[in-house]
Amino acid sequence: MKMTIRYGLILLGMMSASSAFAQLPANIGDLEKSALQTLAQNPDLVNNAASKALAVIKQKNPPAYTFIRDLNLKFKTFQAGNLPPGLGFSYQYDNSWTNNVKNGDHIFSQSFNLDFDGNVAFKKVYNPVNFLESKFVYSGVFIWGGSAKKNTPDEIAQLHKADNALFDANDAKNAAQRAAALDQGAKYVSLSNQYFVGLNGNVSYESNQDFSKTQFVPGILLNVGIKPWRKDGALRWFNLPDYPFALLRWLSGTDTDFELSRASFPSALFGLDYVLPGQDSLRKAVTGTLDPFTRVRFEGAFKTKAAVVLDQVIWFSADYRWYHQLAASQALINAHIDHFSYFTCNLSSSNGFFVSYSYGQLPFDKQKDSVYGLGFKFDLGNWNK
Amino acid sequence: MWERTSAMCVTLGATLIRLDQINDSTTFAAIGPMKMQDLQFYNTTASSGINAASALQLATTIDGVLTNSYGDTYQASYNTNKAIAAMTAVMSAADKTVENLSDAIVTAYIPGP
Repeated sequence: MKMTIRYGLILLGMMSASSAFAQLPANIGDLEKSALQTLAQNPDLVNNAASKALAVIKQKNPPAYTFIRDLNLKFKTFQAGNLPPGLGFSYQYDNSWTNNVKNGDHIFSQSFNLDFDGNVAFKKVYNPVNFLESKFVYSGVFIWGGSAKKNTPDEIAQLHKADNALFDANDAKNAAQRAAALDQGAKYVSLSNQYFVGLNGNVSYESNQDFSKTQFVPGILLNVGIKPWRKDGALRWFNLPDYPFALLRWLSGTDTDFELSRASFPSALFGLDYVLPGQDSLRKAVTGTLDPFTRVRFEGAFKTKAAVVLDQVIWFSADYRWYHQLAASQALINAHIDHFSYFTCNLSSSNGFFVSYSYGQLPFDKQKDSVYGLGFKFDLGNWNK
Repeated sequence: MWERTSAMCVTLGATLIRLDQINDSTTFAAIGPMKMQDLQFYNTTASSGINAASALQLATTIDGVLTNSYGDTYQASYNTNKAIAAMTAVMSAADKTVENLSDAIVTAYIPGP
């Protein structure tokens, strides 16, 4: 326990060092100032040191580690409008309990989820994505299809042979052998199209990063998704957002033909929330009260392969969120706080490189603005030897 | 454990390629350390609700491929419910690796013939 506390203090100390990057006190010595700046300008030092500390904690596997293991932190810089860059971090914690019942080619799944998500800037004025969300969700999900044909023992043996031939071809960088192995394997793995409908009941607590604005939000969500797994099926031609990327993959030589991705069909989420504002000075100033209100929301998400460059897959990810208050008063409409929309997208590769763009405003964001990002990401708590 | 001599690991790697989750030219050795956020289904810009749904959808598909296409069966203390839940738990975490997913699958399934 003492060891856990000691490493926790080291981690906090390093995070404090990072925060010093935003504004260093004038009265500290040059040596300390230089050391702090070195740490702050190299977030990988902080991440690596913290990861090593976590590895030591992991060896003892105390109950606290189970919590830390499911907590993701990512140090990042924020930049909005004409403000200087500010250092901060995003955090995410997810945990769930699930029960799935399979019946023929459909599955009914029920789950309970606990989810914390947000962005925190060490100087809050620099945070353009000033929105923290803590949520409890019950989910009931129906999935139809996506079932595979039952193989005989001989067919299974052929399938294993094709798998080994595929990885032999990839080791040898032999494209012709790879294509032959994929064709051979495809004979024994044929899937039906898959349809997904989920109904969620959720309770969430939303706030800005200093909790000066808070609200309590119960609601329901309808989640839908499609995977056109059938190779000869027409459904994949309805994957409209993938058309420009299919063209890019074809022109860049990533794909040999113009082929739409079966896996990248967009997902959508529709929600109805009953919002009980806790502290929201702007809303109170506009309406004079903090009455509960009903809000509809929509989220659409899409991710596809854009290209493969030097053996690195470049993924394109995008997400659009829209919130709209029902029966909003004219005062709220005039103050532009009756609806919010937010779009974000990025190009990223598995080596950590990313380019991102976001535009719009989430509930509690101070301004509607374009934010660009460019850099490498480092993941805390995942020290790989 | 992520080893070429393990039929389960090879099966998982090939299945992820077949389901368009990773590039088809990826070597076996490179697949193991890949994180969930580097697979097609995990969208780092989306909310956890959408990613959890995508993870569940893919986990049910992988379960169908393992049990039908490869003839795998469940370990004594596992059934469809527990196997899919074990896979979904790994797949819902952005920084879990394919090797972590493979470990969950080895724990839940008995390789087929």
